[in-house]
Amino acid sequence: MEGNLSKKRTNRRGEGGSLSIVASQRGTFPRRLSAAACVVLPLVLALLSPTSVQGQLGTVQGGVHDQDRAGVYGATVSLYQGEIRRYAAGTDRLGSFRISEVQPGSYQVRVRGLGYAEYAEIIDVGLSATIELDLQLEQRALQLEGLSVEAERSRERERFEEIGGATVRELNLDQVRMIPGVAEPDPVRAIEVLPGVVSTSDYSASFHVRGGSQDQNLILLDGIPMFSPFHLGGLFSVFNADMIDRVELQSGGFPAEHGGRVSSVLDIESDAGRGGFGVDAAVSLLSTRVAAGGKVSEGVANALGQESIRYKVSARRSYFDILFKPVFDFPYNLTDVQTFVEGWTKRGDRLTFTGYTGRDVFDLASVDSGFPLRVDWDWGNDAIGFGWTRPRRGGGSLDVRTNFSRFKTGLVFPDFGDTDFRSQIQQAQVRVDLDTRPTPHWAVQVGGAAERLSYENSFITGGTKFGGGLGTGSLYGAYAQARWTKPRAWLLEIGARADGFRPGSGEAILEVSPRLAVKRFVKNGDIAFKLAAGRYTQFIHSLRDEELPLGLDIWVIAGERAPHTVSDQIQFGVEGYHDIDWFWSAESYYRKFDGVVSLNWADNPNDELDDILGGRGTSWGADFMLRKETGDVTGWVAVSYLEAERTFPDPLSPTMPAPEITFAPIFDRRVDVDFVLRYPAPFGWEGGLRWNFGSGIPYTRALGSYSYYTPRYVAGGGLDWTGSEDDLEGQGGYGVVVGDRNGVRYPNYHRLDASFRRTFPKSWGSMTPYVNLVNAYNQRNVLFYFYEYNLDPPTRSGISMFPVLPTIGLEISFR
Amino acid sequence: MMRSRWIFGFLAAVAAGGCELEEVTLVEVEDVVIAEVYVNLMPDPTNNEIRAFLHRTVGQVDQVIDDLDDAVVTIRRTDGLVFTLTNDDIDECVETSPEAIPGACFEAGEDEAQQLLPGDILELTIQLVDGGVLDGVTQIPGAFTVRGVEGLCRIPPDTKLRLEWTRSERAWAYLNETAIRGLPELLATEGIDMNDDPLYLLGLSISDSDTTIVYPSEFGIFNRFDLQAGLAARLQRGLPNKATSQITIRAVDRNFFNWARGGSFNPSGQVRVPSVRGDGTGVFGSTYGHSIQTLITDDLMTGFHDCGHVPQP
Repeated sequence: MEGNLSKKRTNRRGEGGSLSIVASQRGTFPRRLSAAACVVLPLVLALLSPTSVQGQLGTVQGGVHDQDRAGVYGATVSLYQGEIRRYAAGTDRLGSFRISEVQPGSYQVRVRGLGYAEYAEIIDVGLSATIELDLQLEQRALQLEGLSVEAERSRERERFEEIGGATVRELNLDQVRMIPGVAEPDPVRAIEVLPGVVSTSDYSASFHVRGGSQDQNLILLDGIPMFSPFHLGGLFSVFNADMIDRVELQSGGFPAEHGGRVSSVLDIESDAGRGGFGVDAAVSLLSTRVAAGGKVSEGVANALGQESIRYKVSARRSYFDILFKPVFDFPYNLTDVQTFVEGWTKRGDRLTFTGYTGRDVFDLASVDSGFPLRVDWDWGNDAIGFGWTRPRRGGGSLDVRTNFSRFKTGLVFPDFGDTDFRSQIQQAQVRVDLDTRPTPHWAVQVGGAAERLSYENSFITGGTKFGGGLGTGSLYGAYAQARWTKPRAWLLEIGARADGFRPGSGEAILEVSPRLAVKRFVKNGDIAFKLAAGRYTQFIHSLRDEELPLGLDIWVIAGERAPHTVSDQIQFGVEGYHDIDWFWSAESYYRKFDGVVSLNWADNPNDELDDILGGRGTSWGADFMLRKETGDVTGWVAVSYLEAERTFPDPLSPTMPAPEITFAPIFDRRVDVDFVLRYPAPFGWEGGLRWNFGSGIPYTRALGSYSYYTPRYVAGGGLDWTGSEDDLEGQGGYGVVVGDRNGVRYPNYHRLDASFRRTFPKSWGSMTPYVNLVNAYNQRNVLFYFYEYNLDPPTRSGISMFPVLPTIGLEISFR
Repeated sequence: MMRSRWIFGFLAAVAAGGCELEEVTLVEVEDVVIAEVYVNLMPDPTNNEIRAFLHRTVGQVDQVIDDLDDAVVTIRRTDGLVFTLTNDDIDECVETSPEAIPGACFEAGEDEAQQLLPGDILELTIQLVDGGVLDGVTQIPGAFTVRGVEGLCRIPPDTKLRLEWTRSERAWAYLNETAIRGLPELLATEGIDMNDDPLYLLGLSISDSDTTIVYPSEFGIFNRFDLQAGLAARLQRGLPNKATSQITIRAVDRNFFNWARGGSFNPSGQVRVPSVRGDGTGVFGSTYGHSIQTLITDDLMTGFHDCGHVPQP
């Protein structure tokens, strides 16, 4: 085993002493505390008291990398005495790790990483010693049974022990693939199974977290904010599963480093692979896709100042338009291309490049569709980002990133040059983050970002401007946060963020957002109580009508036309591990939102600034999760309870000024249950199961309908009924009188999905056919009700969401 | 209306992926009175009119509809002048309807309506037989003039006419309508098959400062999905020789505009923003407008003056 090791070791003694000095200097501090500060006195004492003992304990830290000097993420570094594991830590994205408070003595260091041969060596940890290890793992094709579980568990456990306030849930690529869905794995669809996440429709991959609107989720691709990252009007996300390493959702309590959105952070990280050349290809009922990855030659890498450079590039395209071409013209296609490049320098710096471009095209202009109007509608994202990360000894890093992201859509009627329908939002960002670990107990992170935002919306036809607007804004954010840990006892996070926003028109805004989180471990660190509170701000909104299950976002930024959102949030919970198998958590929360927006249906066309209504909202609820992490059968149950409210001036009121109404937003799904299972199916197949239950979401009921007349002033004049004879049996030609906004609810939603996959190893790689079965028992979940009072007798009909929907696909890997 | 077309188009697309739900018979039908009251002014006060059309949500028995005839509809100007509308034949209010007895029609006398002026603030009160009361307020948009066009004028064939007018105080929009006659025969030679004669098209200028529209290309924006293939595109060039048309340009108030444009999405039908409140809903809108008759001809000897500024094709 030791033959696999290429190591550098330094043994620096005495560093722990500095902590003693700092502590003793602070010894008089409690005497000056005010009475109010006594609340935190126990924590301060806990910080100070153990120094005399801890000052003599050692630290083992360093980095784990592979033969290309690439940091190994998620490896487990353990210190054994005999066969008893005394200490363990996981490696971060750069391969760094740190094990502190190690009792002096002799240990065997064992390092295990998924896809790597296990490494072991003996080290001696002296009094107040810091052992610096530089470890190299060798790749191994075969993966040991249970190792992946350990790697995952290690990461989850590390997160449990090191993150104080944020509620973080992660899905890796295997989990994403095993969660049944339509056509092909979708990392954004997959997070619907996590606690606190609500989806309102089968037709939309957009999601709501703990009572937040869908535009309040910060979706990051390798740190690049992505606007509306959905294909097919929201049916699928733009993220190609072949490019993804993991998906992480922070559903609340996220620390000060994150700004710009108030509800959640969805972080999607790309995978550059392990360096060996390979091609992944797949075909699903939605699209065909291919991803190729490898590493550039050593000479080229060295010429670029890198020890190694790995890359992966993928392309995806739907094919119905091509497949059906001989029979009829299918007017829709989607295309996306994504690339991720990762370079590692000799000293362990990581450089990354991420690029994405995608387009959806709905083209009725160039096909013979029989549609009376020629239409060409396209939309899509473009994103590009560069990152440079330098690891710091003992953990932490300096991270510099710059990126650009854009979403745009345009609708063209080739026969009508007077039409200009388009919408675009773009953001350029530079940010710097410095993460330091000045002592074994303290981590301090500071950073800042500068962003330039702009948007332009135009809805002009027939010489008339029906809506639109444009604007710019500059956002400057800075933050500082500190984390103090007493392993398996206390974790305290305190931070603050300042965001200064200067819109192109309107007054500059400065918001200071404090964040605080406390975590108290009990039962030898296996159970933790956690409390987090903070303020979150947002300077961007989508005006999308959330009552529509499909649709595109129309983005605006805060300024004269729209307020900015400020959300104060608090959450309290308890979570823990039972043995190594089970993780459980229970968390409650309360959120208050000021400055949420909605379209003003009754805006005054003579007032440029009143087309967006500002409102407020609240949400509270509780999330529960029970997860089994090891064994042949794994999975989880997530139960979420939510009560959400929004308050806006009522644009449908005949009185001026419009009175306020308070209503449950469409995503106010009171109870949401997800049961997810991964199990070995017969004949070597792997099974995935998801059952979702959701209590009914609210809607506005039509109480009656009336003949819809419009006044006509030409050729005689009078009121004309807008319908035709065909409409006597339909809805055209009728207006509706509606009841209280979202005053009633659809029936409960439930659906069972199943997936089956089997990988057949081949000499050239592997082949994995899969079957997805969506809505296995064909539950008719209601999408809409149609109240048709013009029929005799009046009826309520409607349409359902997905019927039973079997889809198949095939993934092929060439290695 | 435009928004609703998009939405229903979308619903059709969604329905293609979903399944129809089983129909359920509804036993409850909410009885709501709908009041559609319009005050329309013209430059010639003898053409002023006040009309109120009362109807109910569909599915009511005839007796309930008849009750509406006995409602009392009054409009009071802020100076105290009161207009009491009298029950009239339904044809005076409604041109087309899906129902045999669509509702009740009320109208102010011609002499009374002549007293109305642009800028007047009017209060509506409707007293129903069952004791219910509906009310609303409107302010009539200001007077305006159409530049270079009056009465009957000539437009050369296949030519677009830029109509311009002065600003109307307090207008939220200008509702521009046209009725074009003779198109089925005139366009048949161009291979365009159509039936509607006259063809009604609607144009819109939103806000009080949007005081131009190009005729006929910017009319019919809400009909582009419905018009026979090629017709909408043909109208982008102008009208064929020998067609005739009427054009109205009408400044409309907040109430009219809100009722016409519709509100939030509802799959069961269009939701409208009302301006009548109380024991019912509806609109109390006011307008001020002009009417123009045009003849499409290249014959300069007709004796009609050219409509406004006509650019060369």
